[in-house]
Amino acid sequence: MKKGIIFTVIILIVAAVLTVVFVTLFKERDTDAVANKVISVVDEGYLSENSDKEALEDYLDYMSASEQNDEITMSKTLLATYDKLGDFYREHIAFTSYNSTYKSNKGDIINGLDSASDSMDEMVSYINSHTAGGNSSWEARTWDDVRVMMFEFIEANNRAFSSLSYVYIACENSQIVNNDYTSEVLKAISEHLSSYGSLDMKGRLTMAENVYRMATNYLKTELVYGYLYDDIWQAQIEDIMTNGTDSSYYSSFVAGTL
Amino acid sequence: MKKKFISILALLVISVASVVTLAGCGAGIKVENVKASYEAMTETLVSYDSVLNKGDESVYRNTKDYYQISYGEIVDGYIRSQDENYVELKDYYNSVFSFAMSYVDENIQVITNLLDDEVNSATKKTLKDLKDSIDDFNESVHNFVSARNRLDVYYQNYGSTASEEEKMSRLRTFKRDYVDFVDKSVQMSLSLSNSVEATGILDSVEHVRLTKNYILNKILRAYNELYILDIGTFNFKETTPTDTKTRIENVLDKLQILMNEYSSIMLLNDSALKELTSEELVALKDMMNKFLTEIDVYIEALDTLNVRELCVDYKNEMDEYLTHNDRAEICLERVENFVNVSLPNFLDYLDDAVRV
Repeated sequence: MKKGIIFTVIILIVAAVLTVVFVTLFKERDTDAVANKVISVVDEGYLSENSDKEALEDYLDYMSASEQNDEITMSKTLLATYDKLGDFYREHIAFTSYNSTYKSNKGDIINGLDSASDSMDEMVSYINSHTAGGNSSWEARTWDDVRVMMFEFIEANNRAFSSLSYVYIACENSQIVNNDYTSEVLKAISEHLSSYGSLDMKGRLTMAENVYRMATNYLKTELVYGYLYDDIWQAQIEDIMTNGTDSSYYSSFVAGTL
Repeated sequence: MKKKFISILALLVISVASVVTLAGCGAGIKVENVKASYEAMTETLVSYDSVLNKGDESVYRNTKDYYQISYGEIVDGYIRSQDENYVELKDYYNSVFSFAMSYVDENIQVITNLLDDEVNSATKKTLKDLKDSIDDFNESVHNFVSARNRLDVYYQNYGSTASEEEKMSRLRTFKRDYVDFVDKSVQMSLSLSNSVEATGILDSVEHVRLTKNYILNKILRAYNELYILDIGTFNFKETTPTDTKTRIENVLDKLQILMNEYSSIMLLNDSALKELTSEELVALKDMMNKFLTEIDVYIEALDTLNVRELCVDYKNEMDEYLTHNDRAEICLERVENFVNVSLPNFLDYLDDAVRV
């Protein structure tokens, strides 16, 4: 009887040790999943110069002259913003370290990028099957449908890119790149992106333009790397971090003209 | 029966834990052991002083030729005549080796002057690694000198009759041994810098020189990794010319240019060094830590890129290589950014921070 109990206890201890060993061995420790997803979306997927993206851009170009000009321009601006953000993350996210922020945002990033990709496929398929064009009722009818898909596309991208910025800001692997400057820029971009909350896209053009300017003006590699050695820039960013919207630099910062 | 079993189990656990803990702490290794290894290594170098001619110590701080390596009359002649196939032996391999050795010779006393009772636990943990790396280097000296002698004998006997291709093949064989030798010297200097840091001596403003040299020694990895460890192991020059090869060549050219900047900071004499305040020292070390992390990312990018595979197996065709390694492009971009932007920026910063 006693022997049986001892044997069972030993088996339980061995099982517990083996479980700990296996959990430790196979525990996710790197950011490969997200890095590979971003790379595939930028290099092979919907952000690359493929025929799907061209079809959507052609449609938006054609529609630029329509009554929904503001909405179309905003859509085009955001599309270009995602290009810039995608390039930035493609280059940087592969070198970020695994952390709890990564763990909690991984699902949002991958699902967001997948959903955006699905919305892009849906839009292109719709555009390709409604090629008549040339009159205002066609324009109004197609845009009514495309804008819903476009909104889903924007929403999914915003979700993914906001989560990517949290992961990047939390990373420790490359402190010289993940400095106050990029963190503040990405935080501002993320706040702007997350403020899209309805299908009413009119009136949000300024915001989209700011996001676009911030992404293009501030995420240039040489500026990201150069920040650490620029006293003036450091002082301005510190002022923004300390004083937020009260900072005298804040408005030019969010306008992308710091 | 139960008590016996538990006692045996406890004994086993304690034994394993003790072994692991002692091994982890480097217990058993004393300063004396490090000193003995260093002295043995010095004796080895002295015994080969016709090949590894140590420069005059009163002069070496003003020249990067701290260790003059004699490659034999014929190869030295090629180097003097600036033959591009040979000149890098002196410009690059010899320079990296000299910087690593000058760091070791100038800083080893920080460790060997310690009394075992004074050694803190952080330093104690680094001593085994330091001793091992000195022993490894010591061993590599023999291999290097043999390789150098084989090269010299080959050139003396066949230098005038062998084809250019044959000579290049022989030179590449020698470079492979040279790569190992330089790498061992860099590893030894890095181990020493870890030990020096662990003593806490770098926290004192009185030791600006030690701090500056510590930083430069850590940067040595950036030069060693790509130019010597990666490129030095195959015939890069003869690989297929493509845009990707041009990009790698540009990175190598830039590294060579930056070596001069590195040298000028390394060779600053004491009178040219600033006296730092404690705040300035903290700021410098903070920036250094950030940059060291950046070097880690650069090394990681190089490892993932695998230059040899790209250049040799995939003939410098990035598009084809991407089907095998989908991170190759971003890794190459990261390497370019590090060499073109981060490294020069940091060297400029360091120069401003320490030069009077």
